[in-house]
Amino acid sequence: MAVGVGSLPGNIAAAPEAPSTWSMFFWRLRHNTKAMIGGAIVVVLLAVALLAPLIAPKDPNDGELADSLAMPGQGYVLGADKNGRDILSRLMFGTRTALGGAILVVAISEIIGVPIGIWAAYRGGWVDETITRVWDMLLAFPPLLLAFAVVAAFGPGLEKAAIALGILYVPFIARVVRSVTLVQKEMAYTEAARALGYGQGRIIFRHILPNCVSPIIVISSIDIAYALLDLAALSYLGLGVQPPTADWGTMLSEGQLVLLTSPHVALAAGLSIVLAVLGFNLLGDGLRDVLDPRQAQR
Amino acid sequence: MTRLIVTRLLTLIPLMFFITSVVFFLIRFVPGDPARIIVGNQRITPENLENIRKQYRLDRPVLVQYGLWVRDLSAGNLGRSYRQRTEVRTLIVDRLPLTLKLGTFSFLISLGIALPLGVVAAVRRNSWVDVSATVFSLIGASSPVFFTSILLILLFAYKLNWMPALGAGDGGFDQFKHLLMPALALGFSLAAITTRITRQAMVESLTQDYIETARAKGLSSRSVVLKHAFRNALIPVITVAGLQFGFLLVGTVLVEYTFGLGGLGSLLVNAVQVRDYPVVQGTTIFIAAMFILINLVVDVFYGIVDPRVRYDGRR
Repeated sequence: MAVGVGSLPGNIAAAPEAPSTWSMFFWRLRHNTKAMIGGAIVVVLLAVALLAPLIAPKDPNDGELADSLAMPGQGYVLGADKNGRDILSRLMFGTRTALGGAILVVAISEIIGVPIGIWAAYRGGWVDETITRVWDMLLAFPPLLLAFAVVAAFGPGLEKAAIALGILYVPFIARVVRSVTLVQKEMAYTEAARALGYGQGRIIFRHILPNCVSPIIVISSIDIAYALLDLAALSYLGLGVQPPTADWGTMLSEGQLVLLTSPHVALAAGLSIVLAVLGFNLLGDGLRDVLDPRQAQR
Repeated sequence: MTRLIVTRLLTLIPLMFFITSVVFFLIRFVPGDPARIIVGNQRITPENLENIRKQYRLDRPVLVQYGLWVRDLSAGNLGRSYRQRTEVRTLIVDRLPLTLKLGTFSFLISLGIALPLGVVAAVRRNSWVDVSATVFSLIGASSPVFFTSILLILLFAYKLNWMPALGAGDGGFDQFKHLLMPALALGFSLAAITTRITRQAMVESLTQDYIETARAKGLSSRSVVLKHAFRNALIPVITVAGLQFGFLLVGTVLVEYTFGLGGLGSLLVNAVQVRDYPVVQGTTIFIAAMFILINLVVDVFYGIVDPRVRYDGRR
């Protein structure tokens, strides 16, 4: 028995260094199927979006009318649309529109939402009360319906739709940031920092904000999935991206007009939307399992 | 219970006020002359244009317009359509029944899929049913409802020729046939989320001590699952089903557009496309009011199922 105690210091010296937070994170990430599949889809989509001009076989906006609605194979990998434009190339450029729009929505919501969330939690009192009341109301109401009103007022277009959705998405992120801040604010190290006389700004940027990062990453991924769906819906209804810009939602509604004779147009566009949304949903779910921010439920 | 209803109603008033104001002022910020939009491309004399402004109160200051509009609103008057030259209220009343049928039908289909699937998936964890339920809810939540609709049209209307692809039919059984596919499309999308929640809630409730006790008492597996576990799992499911109402509303808008159904949703989308502001305002506010009312009903229902809610008047 005494042997154990006696050899303890030696054991400690020989023990491997504890894994860093980052390597733990990557280890858990690699063992999460959802995160890996979702991550792979997202990486491929981002690559396609970035490299579209290089890898697209044809000009997405240049159609050969003689090849109108060509079936897949006949000189076009995925066929051609009504205007004889290469569907594969349009899908590739559509990735730019879709991801660009969705990331814009989420970026806007975070630029506004993160400070609001921190402010609400920090100020407390009537400020907090008012802000949470307002976003509770907004949370309950589907963003797409209010986006309709914005489009009715300012006319259709990707930027307008993205700005409107971005503002309507603010509560989703602000709510999470607020709850994380509320917890961190009461932590011993925050109190210690305050006792040391550090200013609020330093406490927020050095202590509170870093702790918000992982929930923000999870929410971002899931919100991008929602934004992809909402933007695709607006474009599908003719209220978002306007032709001739290559966009999945617009392609889907164009494809619906020729569904009986050329289903490949609608199928290609629709499956792209599903794949992208699925990718971000899986990644978000997986990351949540890995990072486990309990507030991330939506 | 009365207290619960009254408190909820009181919190809903600011929401209603907020939405009406947003919708009203948003549209007033638009550059351009609304009177011109009413006229469209027709030629018109300045006097007639002035008359139109008067008729639609566009000659008054914005705040006065707002005041009058709120007054009309509280009397149930939603104004006149710019394009269709009818009362917005009439348009809504005409279109509402179809949307209600579609919504209810879809909701029932979603519960019909989600509850059994979620329960079986939870009872037989990691079985093939469980795996398929997970895959179903993942893909269902990732597929836009208008794409699911298009897939159904391709399969059931064009390939198999079982169902009509477009339109709302001539009432009775014909209408049922026409609504079946749109309701299925929307039902699938809704079921994706409900399945996941039902499964989660059932897994949670099946691991509780009282389930162990019920089993130890020698109750049949069926009675344990349905009477003990399911009753308790129902609470989160109701909450989510209630929250999904917003999704259901947006879903009907999209599905009506895809299937060419003349409901409230297509009224709204068409109005947005041609910038028929009174119709956009009226429909949005009507939908918001409906949404708020349903949420109230869900809250009350929640109070009935879970007595704990009743006492402090809130969750």
